[in-house]
Amino acid sequence: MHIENIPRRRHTISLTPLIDVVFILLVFFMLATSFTDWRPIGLATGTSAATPGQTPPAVVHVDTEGNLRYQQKIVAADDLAASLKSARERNEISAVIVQPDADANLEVTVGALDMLSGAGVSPMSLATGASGKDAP
Amino acid sequence: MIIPPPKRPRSKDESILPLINIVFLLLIFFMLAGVLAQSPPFELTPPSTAETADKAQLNNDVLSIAADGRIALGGETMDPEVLPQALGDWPKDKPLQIRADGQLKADALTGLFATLRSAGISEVKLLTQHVEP
Repeated sequence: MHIENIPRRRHTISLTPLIDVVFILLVFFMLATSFTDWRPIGLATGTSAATPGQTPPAVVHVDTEGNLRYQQKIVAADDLAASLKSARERNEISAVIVQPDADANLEVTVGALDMLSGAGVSPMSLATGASGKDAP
Repeated sequence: MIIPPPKRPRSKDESILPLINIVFLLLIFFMLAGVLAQSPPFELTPPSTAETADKAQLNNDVLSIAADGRIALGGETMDPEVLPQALGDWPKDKPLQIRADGQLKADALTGLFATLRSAGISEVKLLTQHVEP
């Protein structure tokens, strides 16, 4: 018997379903991924009980406008950050406590924390800002 | 006279190949460059910072706080009262990431710190969004 050897045309895989799937994946990843540049500010919640007699923490007050008060005086944020940084290095203060006013929102408070954390001041903590009452 | 050989007709599949190449590249870009993150179940605009140099990847168990004080751990809304239980098995040395709305009163956050303290968390990372000054 003579079987004729017909040269078969090579079949390529149909690409349409593949493209469908890839498009769906692409749209999923485009919508689900976030490119937000997150910057963390480390804050102590205040668990470590400071023994009395040790170096005191510096308390910085923040009012609703974002002005910083340190030792009853309004100070520029970058000056304060630099002086607190050097005071921390000389071990004159143990930590920096930021105390926002009762009405201050987080945006304003974080502005102050940002200046301090940008200068490398640590550890930092956030205190409840009862207006008119100073932290020890 | 030289007659050029007849051009092989391009199949439909072949003409679509460059498109697939680009789509694949885009797909790989979005897969690698972005972070698949749990978005909070409410509207949240984090406070912006310019000076902080640290960078962080968003954890999946981030604590989200809306401007009106609603909280969510991961993607799950919960009562502030049940938060200490939910954080019961939180590792001691791992800082908790907090993603709070910029319009939240700072006092509300410090109030929450007391809860976290009672749950044994000594350090939190307040997440802020970087903007160029």
